[in-house]
Amino acid sequence: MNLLSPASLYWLLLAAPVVVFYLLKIRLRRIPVSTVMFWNQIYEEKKPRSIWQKLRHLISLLLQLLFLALLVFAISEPYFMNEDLNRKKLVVILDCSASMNANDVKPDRLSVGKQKIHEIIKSLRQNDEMSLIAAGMHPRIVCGMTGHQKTLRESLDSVLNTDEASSMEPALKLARNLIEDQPQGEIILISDGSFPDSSKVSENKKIVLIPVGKKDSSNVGITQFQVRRSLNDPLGYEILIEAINYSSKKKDFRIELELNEEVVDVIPLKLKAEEKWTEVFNYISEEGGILTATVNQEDFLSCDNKVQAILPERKKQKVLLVTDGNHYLERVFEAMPLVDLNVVNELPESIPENHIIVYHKKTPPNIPDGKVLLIEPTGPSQYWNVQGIIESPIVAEQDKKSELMENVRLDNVIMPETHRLILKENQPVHPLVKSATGDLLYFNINQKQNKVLVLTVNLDKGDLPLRTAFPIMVSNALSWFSGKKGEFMEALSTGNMTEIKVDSLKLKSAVTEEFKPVLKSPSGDIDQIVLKDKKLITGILQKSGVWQVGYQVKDDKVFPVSVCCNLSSSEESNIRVPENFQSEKKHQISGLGGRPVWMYLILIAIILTMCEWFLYQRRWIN
Amino acid sequence: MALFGSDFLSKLEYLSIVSRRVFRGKLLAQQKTRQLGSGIEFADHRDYTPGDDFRYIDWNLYARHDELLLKRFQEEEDLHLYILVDCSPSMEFGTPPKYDLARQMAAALAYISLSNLDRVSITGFSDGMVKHFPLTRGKAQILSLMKFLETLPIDGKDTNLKNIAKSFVLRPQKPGLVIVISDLFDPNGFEEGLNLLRHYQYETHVIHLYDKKEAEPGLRGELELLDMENQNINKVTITERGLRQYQEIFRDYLVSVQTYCRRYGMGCTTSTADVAFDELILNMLQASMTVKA
Repeated sequence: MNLLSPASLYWLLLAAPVVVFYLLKIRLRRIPVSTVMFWNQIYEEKKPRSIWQKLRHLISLLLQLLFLALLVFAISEPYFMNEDLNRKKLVVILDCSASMNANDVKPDRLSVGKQKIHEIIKSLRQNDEMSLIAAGMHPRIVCGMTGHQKTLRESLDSVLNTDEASSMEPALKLARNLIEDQPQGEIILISDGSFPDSSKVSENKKIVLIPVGKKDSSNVGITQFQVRRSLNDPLGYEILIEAINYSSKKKDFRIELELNEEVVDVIPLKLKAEEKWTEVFNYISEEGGILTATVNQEDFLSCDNKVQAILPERKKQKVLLVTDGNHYLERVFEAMPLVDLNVVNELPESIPENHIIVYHKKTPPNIPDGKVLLIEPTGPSQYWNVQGIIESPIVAEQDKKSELMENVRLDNVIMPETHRLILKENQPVHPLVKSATGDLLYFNINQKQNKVLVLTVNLDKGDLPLRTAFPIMVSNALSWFSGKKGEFMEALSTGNMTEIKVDSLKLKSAVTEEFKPVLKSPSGDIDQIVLKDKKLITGILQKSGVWQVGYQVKDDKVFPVSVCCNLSSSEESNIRVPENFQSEKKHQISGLGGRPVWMYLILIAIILTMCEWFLYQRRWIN
Repeated sequence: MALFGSDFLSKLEYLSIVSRRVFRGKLLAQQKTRQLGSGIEFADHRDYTPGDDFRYIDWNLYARHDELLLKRFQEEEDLHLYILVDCSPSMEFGTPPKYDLARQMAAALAYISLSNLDRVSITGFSDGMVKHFPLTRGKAQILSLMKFLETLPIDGKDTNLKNIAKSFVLRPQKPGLVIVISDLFDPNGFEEGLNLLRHYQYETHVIHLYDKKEAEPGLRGELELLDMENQNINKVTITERGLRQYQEIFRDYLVSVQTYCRRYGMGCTTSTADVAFDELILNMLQASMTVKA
């Protein structure tokens, strides 16, 4: 045993005044009484005391000297040699992923894990230090290296449960960095083993594993859930669902599908042990909203029993067709379910709002602002002049990457008597289809709010209307005008973050200083988020459910955008603790309860004081 | 504050009036004694013997019965009140000291007696006689008597009641009422002294004073107890149990004084020293009729 401050032993000199004061204490307090004849009946008079007789109370004196010795020894801060040699640096990783919410152990795995860490904190010795990492999708240092137990306990209590999938490797890497140059460093992982490559972690002999949970806990969960609008059917949508039965028994359950809390379908399922079921369902709905799938069976993990996704709404597009009449063209628009078609011969004096205007064989000298499709323009405009006719143009070049040309091939299409358009200088034209002679057959002009699409092909003479490419071209054109293509709003996995464009908030006015972007959690908590480069950055979405992104101006809060978050992790849904998830190395709890030696010395000193007091009161010393 | 201030004197006057009203006819100066003599109140007859004064022959009876009988009369004489005040150092104990009340009591009783034309004597004692105020009569003597009491010193060592009683009874004086004002902390016992007084035909009344702190000292731990009477020091370690024993012994002692007095027909007044003297005298008068006819 060594002393941190041996100079403190000089305090032992205080023993001298203690003895002196003790002897002085023997000089008793003198009390005058009217007579002692009554006292004499009780107590025999004591004989005068010599210096040696005074030491009859030696036990009391010894107790006082021992008390002093213990105090001085405590001040000199003794410590054991092995305490110095075995000074530990612990990094405790607490898995706070979704699977730790499983309640197969009471109250839940995370609470049990926290309790185990509390025990570790309690066992820390005087010079031991500990760091705490919370491991979800992204590891987070909850508390840096410290030996202060209160700080560690408070930090531990601040760790909340999440619905994130766990990614343990970054957490382990972080832990290794924290104890990189510490020979007594130790990594303790408190987890249920529901993460990828848990077997590799088990094999790592440098890591102490403390498993939480049971090895036979069964769970049925939805591990995939996505929804999107059908590419073929404008009103249709497709749902991808994947469910897995993580148990050793056959499970019989149902998945209920709801759109805006109205039941869309109920899917009965019978899954064998370990069976995975994946299916894509097609449904039709013009309306959009939140689509929810729920497993109607309670199990140990609830966050994978309910998943949600956003189905975009389909709005009808108003099309004003200005034509003298073309059967194919009209039929194409009429065939589209989301088109509200209005056919006129002449352009009305005032152009209606929110309409896509389609000119066929008509060219206004000044093409109006807005969304305009010109088919077979015959006259000049502010963008071009007409210079003759191309007899039989051959398609030589197609922009296959353009969304307007998606699924469209015009290689062998006959297009006789196509008007040749000569563009005026400095026009923002994007060619989509060119002839072998370099003439533009199909192109678009994208200028600020205006979208102009031009098809120079003569529909009456060519066979384009008879080709399947034609309706697809028109459909692509309408999608291009509406600005939505596919309309797939991916349901995020928990633990990720996302960015929302400011444009999607549909702000009525410009962003001012009073504008505060906010995020509303599924539980209703509202936090401010970051606006950067016209994008709102949500931060990590830790909980599954519907998050709402919006803004606050003064006291008004608006949430125009919703984001769905699901667990969607087969590793997390498999809540059975792996058989091999245990380590040979065990964490040793300190025998002295983790307190420094001086604390025990002071404790003994206090007990001695109490003994001395007791002896004094009861006169045992006499 | 003076021991006998104006307040004290006014209370004395009040006590004198009250005592007269309560014991009218019993505290008069003409106290009836058993002696037959030359009084005016007829007592009885006796046979005539030669040499008797002819003036006392009841001639009426002689006329009726032809028998010479002599009329006897009750002789009247003054009451002699002897007040013995304990001046031992133990009387100085307490708050207020017992000695103050003892002297006030002595003065008050003397005043009542003097105002009733009785004779009063005061003797201070401890292990022997400390100071003596001889028998005196007349209300005018009260001031000198009070002066005597004021200057009566605390003196002597252990109280010795037997010693003072012995010297008291051997004095050439008529027996009368003896009032002993003391805490009775006599190491040899108070009984022998009182027995002597009783045997010499003195009517005795004991005013036993004690302080509350004597009854409940509240002392604990290791202490040196200094005996105020003899300056002896006793080293004791007082425990809760010892304290309880002391309180029991002291209670028994108070009871033993009362029992003794009752047994031998003595008056006894026991009181703490913190009561007012007038209150104590009234209680005395009413409860035990200390001053008898």
